[in-house]
Amino acid sequence: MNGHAYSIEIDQVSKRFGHGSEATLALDTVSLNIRTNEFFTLLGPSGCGKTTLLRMIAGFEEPTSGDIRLDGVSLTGRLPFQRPVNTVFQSYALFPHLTVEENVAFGLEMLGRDRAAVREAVTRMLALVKLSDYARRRPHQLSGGQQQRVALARALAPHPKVLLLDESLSALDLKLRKDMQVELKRLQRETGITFVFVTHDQEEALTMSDRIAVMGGGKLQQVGSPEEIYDRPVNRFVADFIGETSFLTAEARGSALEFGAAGRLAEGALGTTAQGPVALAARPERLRLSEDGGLTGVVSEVVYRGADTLYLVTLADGQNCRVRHTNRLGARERAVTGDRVRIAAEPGAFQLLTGEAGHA
Amino acid sequence: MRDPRTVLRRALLLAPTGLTLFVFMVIPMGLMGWMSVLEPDTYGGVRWHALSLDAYVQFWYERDLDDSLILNTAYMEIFLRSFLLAGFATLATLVLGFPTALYIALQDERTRQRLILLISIPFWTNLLVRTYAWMLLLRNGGLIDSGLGALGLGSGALDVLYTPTAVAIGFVYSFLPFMVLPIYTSLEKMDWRLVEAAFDLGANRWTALRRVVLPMALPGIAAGCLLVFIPALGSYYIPELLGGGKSLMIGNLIQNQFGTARNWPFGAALSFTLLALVLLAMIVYTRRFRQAPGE
Repeated sequence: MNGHAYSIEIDQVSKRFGHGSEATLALDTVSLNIRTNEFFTLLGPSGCGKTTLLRMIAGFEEPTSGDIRLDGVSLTGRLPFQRPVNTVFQSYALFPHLTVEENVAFGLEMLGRDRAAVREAVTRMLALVKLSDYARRRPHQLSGGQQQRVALARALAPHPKVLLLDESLSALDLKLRKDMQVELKRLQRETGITFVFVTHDQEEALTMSDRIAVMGGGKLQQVGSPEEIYDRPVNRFVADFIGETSFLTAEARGSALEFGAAGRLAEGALGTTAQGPVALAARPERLRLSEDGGLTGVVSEVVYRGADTLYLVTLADGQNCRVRHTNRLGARERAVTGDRVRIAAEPGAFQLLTGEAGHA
Repeated sequence: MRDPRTVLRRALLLAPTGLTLFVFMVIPMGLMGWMSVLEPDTYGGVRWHALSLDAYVQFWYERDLDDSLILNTAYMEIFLRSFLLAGFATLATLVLGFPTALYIALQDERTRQRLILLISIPFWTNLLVRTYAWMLLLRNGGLIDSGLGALGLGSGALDVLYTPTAVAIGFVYSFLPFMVLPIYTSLEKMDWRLVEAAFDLGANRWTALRRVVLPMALPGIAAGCLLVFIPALGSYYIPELLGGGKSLMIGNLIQNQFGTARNWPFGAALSFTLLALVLLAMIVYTRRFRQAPGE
């Protein structure tokens, strides 16, 4: 152990592009810590600042203010080639004039390893990404997936402390992406390297990450495990960006939630003890259509989606709510459009959104 | 393939090119080849039916009074000097041109356009005029000479004009754009993310330049070298004006044979030898750069 709990510490980092009135704030005082050998994902829509943050860890951009530390040592002023950090680029950026094995050997040669050590490491890396038969090919003779694995092998070969992956799976087709997700997870466990992954794909983030940082508008919105991010989004942005969500407002009174004309949900539908007007988020699968439900409404649409069916319900107080039921063999539809229904909620189904007033 | 109409159409399409090549290339070259194996006429021209290999022998040997052949290195020296001067011009323009091209390629779009315009401004004036301008600059008592004198650096006589140095200066000046432009073209297409990737993998600036930028620019460098070396090798009026017309290079030697020396077959033979050497260089070039990087 190196004595530091964190591999990367991002400390109050801001990044401003341009000058004067044309300046844009790409990152706004972001602080987060990434643990050693963690699969950490920066998740957000395009333009949220996640790639800027990644490029600052790699050294291609310098923070306007704040500091980035690796194993406790500040990276400020250190050029990209002076950092034990390697990147798998979105475009792969394989050297077209070099063969696959020469590409993989590049970083090792830069470290000044002797020829035999380089050859041995290249052979091992190519076996790891299952490209041993393609060592003598040039990048343009490979498929997208193979190129991606070369990029991965090239970045992993010098055994960096941190591997950065910039939207590295987005160019692949679905099947290949699924395979690569599994492979990346395996590589991360086997190599003991800290992975920092940038993506806009929430499913990718949820399936692969140990922890996720959701970013939006240059700000850090929430950091947590995939379960925390999904089940307990702290604000509207996170709840909206990840998964399906119904946004509702209600009045919290005691342990009950009152929805005006739509009725009330008693006993612990809200996970916290907040009182008064509240803004809420609820996942459709945490709600159900039930005779004994506390809320009333009319089904406005039924969407069959194979594994499940989504019911869009207009509550009696005018708010819209989504309810999802898993489909079982032989089971009939629970409701059709226009049916009057009642909705029940699991305990803790409603998540309080911070930073927002309840009823306007 | 065998369809006669296809064959006809192909022949018709190729006809203009074929005809142009035949009239302007094959016929003159054939004529030149023929001339090179004829005897010279007394007042220029050739005796059309007197076959002789004298012209090629003359390149290597001198005919002594007793009709025996003795080795003559004078012409070989001129060839050697031509190759050295052209080679120097190529090397010097490469050393100056590559950083220039790299610098331009690294600027933003608008600056690049402006710089390329600056590079091509010399083309707006005839090269002959610009060469005369160099004579004014380089001659004793000229701008450079008196400038150095005013600074107390000159001894009064620069003595550069009418030397191989002046020819070399003229070459570097005239051919620099022909080196910069093709290198710039190959660098402009370059994916700079590859340089980022090299940095990321631990290559410093110099290593990234050597291992990534240079190999990617190689086709442009090779094209630039050809565009400088071949015209420089056969160049005529730069050595004529700046070198003082002292048969410094092959071009002047050839011109002399068709002019004052009145030995057309020898001039033709020299032309053919030059052509053969350039072709040889081209073959080496294509062999070497056949596996150029890229798709």
